[in-house]
Amino acid sequence: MRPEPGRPARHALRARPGEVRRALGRLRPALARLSPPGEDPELAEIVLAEVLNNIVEHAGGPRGGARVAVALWPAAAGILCRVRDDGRPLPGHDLPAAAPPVPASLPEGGFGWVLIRGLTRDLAYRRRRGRNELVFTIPVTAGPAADPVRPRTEMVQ
Amino acid sequence: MRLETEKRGGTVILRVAEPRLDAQQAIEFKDRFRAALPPGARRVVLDLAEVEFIDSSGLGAVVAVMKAAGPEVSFELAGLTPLVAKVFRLTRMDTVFRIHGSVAQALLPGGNGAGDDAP
Repeated sequence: MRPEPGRPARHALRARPGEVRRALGRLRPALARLSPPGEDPELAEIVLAEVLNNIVEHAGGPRGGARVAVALWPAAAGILCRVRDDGRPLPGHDLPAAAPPVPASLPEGGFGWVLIRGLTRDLAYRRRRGRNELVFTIPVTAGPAADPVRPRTEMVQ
Repeated sequence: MRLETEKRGGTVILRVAEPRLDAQQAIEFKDRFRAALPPGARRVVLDLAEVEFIDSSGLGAVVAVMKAAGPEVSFELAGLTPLVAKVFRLTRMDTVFRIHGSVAQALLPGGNGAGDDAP
């Protein structure tokens, strides 16, 4: 059953390390409900995990962690997501330049925005009234459309 | 964080017995790996078949333990679930690991070297 049009699933949390996994657990039923049949809701969960972990690691914010509000709407193109927090702005008040880490250099980080960009559409950031606001769509057809790299191997279970 | 070790011939299999390899688990995973890796191991297969969810921190931890194993160790992956495989593809980190469909495939004669790309 899909929620009424225009009525978001919402979750609020404080940006602290242990809170991300808990928040994802709370959001999981909504993600499953908003994902079409056969679609993997964990793809949406990865996106939210990266967004929330970025806030925990970089946003600072008030004592006890930035206040974060997640809202999810069903949309024709997929799941429309808005994440607001009252932590520090992104550097330059803009999304980081898309410079994915070079695999051969064996990077141990820097994958977060690569995954966010790779799994979303229409990613937009703004700083408004002392808060960060990230808006994006997680496409419903997250199969071939969102994954430009053809699988090289078939996984054998 | 459970990491189970098994020796099969000259191969050490390290099985991540957890459904999630995420920011919350990454540091402990690295510590457990270093403690579990027997000295003198030449070939390590990290079995990820139970891992259903990985994020960028988990991915970074897999890279970190490969580096911690050292250049003299052949460090390989096995059993990537579809979601984990997708994360490796999107970040193109599938290009730097030898990836087997399963531990069983990694242990086949010729599994050492052929990856799972061989027909």
